[in-house]
Amino acid sequence: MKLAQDSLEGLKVADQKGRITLGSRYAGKHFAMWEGEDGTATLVPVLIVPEREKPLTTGRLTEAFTLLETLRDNWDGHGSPAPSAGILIEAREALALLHACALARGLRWEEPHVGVNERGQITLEWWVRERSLTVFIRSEDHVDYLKSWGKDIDADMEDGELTRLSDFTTLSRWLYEEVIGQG
Amino acid sequence: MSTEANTPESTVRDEEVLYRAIRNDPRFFTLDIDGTQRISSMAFNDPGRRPSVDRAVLCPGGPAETRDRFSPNSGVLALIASDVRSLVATHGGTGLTYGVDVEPVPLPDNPSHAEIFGRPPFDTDRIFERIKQALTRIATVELPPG
Repeated sequence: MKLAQDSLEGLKVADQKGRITLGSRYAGKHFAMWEGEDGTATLVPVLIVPEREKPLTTGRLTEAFTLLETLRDNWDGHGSPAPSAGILIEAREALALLHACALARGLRWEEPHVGVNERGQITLEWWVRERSLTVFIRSEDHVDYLKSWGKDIDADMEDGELTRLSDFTTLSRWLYEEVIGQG
Repeated sequence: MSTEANTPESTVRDEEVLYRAIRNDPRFFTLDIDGTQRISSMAFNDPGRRPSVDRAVLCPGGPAETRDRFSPNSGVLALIASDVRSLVATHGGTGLTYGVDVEPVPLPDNPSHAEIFGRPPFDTDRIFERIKQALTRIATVELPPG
């Protein structure tokens, strides 16, 4: 049957340990695996680069963090403290993790606007038209978010803890869904 | 409209324009995906959760007076007092409702100084971050930095 033959050309069968063979042109490559709720599994080829080569932050973001390191207390003229060295390290790691998450799950990624709030905590801010997402790096084990789509604080804003990468996946999809919807 | 004289101690009227100074620092602005300039919530940073503003009615030199008093080349945002007072935030956990108000707090070197504050006072990071986010959305750029 032709139909069966056509299907078989792209059919891969996992062995007893779940392994499949992709073919020699994929030999040696690394893949991020994204599992959909419907059982779909997507393999995204990724590059793994040594950390010293700053793989997950661009020059502009590196510059943004470098500038944050130079801030002094009252940097904004309104009394805000400078961020500590420790929170800057946490923020760099969090940002790299979010970027890796986006890469692995096929999410759109734009560089965030990196800032500091009045407590010296790091903020990562994205705007997509009227939608904004701010991620707050408050400490090593406390990261939360505020999403907003208008000026009505109760009706147009939502906040919560960011404890799992799947939380960021949901937030990122919300942020860009209008843009993606428009193709 | 009230006929009360505008003095440093007089109540801030709803129609009053308020100036918020921000330093000449690119961190206070960001661009959205279409390249539209957006005000970052950092523009309303305040460790005491009472962002300072100047009352335009008491600034005969206009927004430039606020700019010059703050720092050279700083920018000035503008808000309307009634817009500020229209903000309401409900704490997700306690259900406590926070109103937003502005009151005169004249200083020896700045009689136009006022402060945006909460009723009751903003007592959590999350509530204040929401307030700041809303303030960025009702503020306009009166004088760009630089």
